[in-house]
Amino acid sequence: MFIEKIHPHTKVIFTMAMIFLSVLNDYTFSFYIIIPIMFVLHLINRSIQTFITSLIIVIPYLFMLMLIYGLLGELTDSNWIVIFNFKLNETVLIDILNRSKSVVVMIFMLSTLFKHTSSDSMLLAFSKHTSIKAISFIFMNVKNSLSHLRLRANNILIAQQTRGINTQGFIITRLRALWPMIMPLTMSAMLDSQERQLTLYVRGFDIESQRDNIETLKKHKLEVLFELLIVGLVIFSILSEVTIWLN
Amino acid sequence: MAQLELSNFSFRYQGSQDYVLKDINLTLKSGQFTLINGLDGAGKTTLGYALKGIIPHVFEGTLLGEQRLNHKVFQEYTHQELTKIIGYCFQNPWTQLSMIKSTLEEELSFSCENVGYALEETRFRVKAIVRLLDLSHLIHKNPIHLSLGQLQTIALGTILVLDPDVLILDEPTSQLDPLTRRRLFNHLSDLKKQGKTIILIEHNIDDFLELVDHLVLLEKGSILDQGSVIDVYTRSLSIGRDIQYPSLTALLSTITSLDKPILNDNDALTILKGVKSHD
Repeated sequence: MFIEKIHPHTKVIFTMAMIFLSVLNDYTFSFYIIIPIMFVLHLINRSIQTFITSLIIVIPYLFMLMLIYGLLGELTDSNWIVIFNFKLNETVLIDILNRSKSVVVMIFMLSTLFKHTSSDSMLLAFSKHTSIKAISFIFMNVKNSLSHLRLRANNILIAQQTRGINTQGFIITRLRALWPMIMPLTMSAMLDSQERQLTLYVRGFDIESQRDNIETLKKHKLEVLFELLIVGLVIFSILSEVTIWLN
Repeated sequence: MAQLELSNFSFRYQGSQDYVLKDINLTLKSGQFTLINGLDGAGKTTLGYALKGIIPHVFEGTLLGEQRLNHKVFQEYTHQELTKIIGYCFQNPWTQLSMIKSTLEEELSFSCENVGYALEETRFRVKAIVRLLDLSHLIHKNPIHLSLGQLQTIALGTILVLDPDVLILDEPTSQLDPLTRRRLFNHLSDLKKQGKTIILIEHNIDDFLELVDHLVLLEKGSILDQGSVIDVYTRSLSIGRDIQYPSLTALLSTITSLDKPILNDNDALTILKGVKSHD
């Protein structure tokens, strides 16, 4: 699994660059270049599940856009499909693809980034940058706390069952049981958060100092080269757009 | 070695009308083992926060009086210095974890990294703590998957790794079984022998009485009494004060009048024999 082994900086730069380039370029770049690249990457990485998960989010999104534009679009002679008030033609389709290109790329790129980057490597990579450190800490802490929260939710569920609250059955019954479960879970999570804030204070998390971490994350020369290439590509794209605009 | 003082210290939380701590005068000498005891709501945890400096840095409010460390006010110390000198261990060991480290070794090193120790120094300290607390078999495990007793030991380790001169523990035994409590007692006993100033906020007083040099009784934010264990409980018994006594004292006081506290089994047996012969 090579995506996991890539330095988080490299992955973040690649992700941000692809999202930015999808904004600059038309839909062909996003749908004909980025998405196939992601497909091949996941195939090699044996993580096609991540690609499929992103697809499951993207396809309904595109269908929803198609529905909206199809219903609101104008009736023309070049319509492929006309069902009741729903019209679809090449112009509408291209319009949908252009409007959704960045969102689609964002879904694929971000799901890959977060699914295939461990929380501690992400935090470690950005721990030197003070302003990002706190944000990445919160994100990673929440991600790791989820399993602990699930366990606690289960305990609260059992506790409520012993109090006679019915948690099985029809959806209405389950929804009614949700409220006495959510409140204790939320309160305990909030109290834990407060105490964790104190723990971080006590353990010196907010001290401004140069950190020498026990875990090391070394960047390979190829990763550095790749980052430079990606940044170069972005700069080239910006200059091309500026040139076109000036002309 | 470190001495902590609170002089005429009062505090109320922001938005609150009442003072949680009222006119506290406390001197905790270097190398002393202090037990802070009182009913729920007496202000024990707030007192712990004041001794660590969490009040006023984290909790805002109205503060009167002074907090001193080695005769200097807290404001003369940087946050980094106070972090290294005074350690604080919370009641819930879960919240003592950073939740962002995947092995015990990394978790223990977190505090050292934050205060800016070099890599070699961090490694040295972590090794020392692992040896001290007998955690070598857990070094590569994820702390999230460990038992509560193990977590409590690790929570202590995350603070001890900075080798603080003062250690404040807030009800560390509340979620522990008797065997783990005994282990904690042994660790604290070793730390006391090293000359650390230890402040224990605790309900389970029986487990630690033999280590206690100074007992502080809190009630409704004020110090009810303080001094040696014998003196404080003797005074309390003489005036019939309604407080939490050591178990043996509480038990025997129901069958006979006591003029001094009973802290060990031998004394208890002597009293019982006396009661029996009287009968």
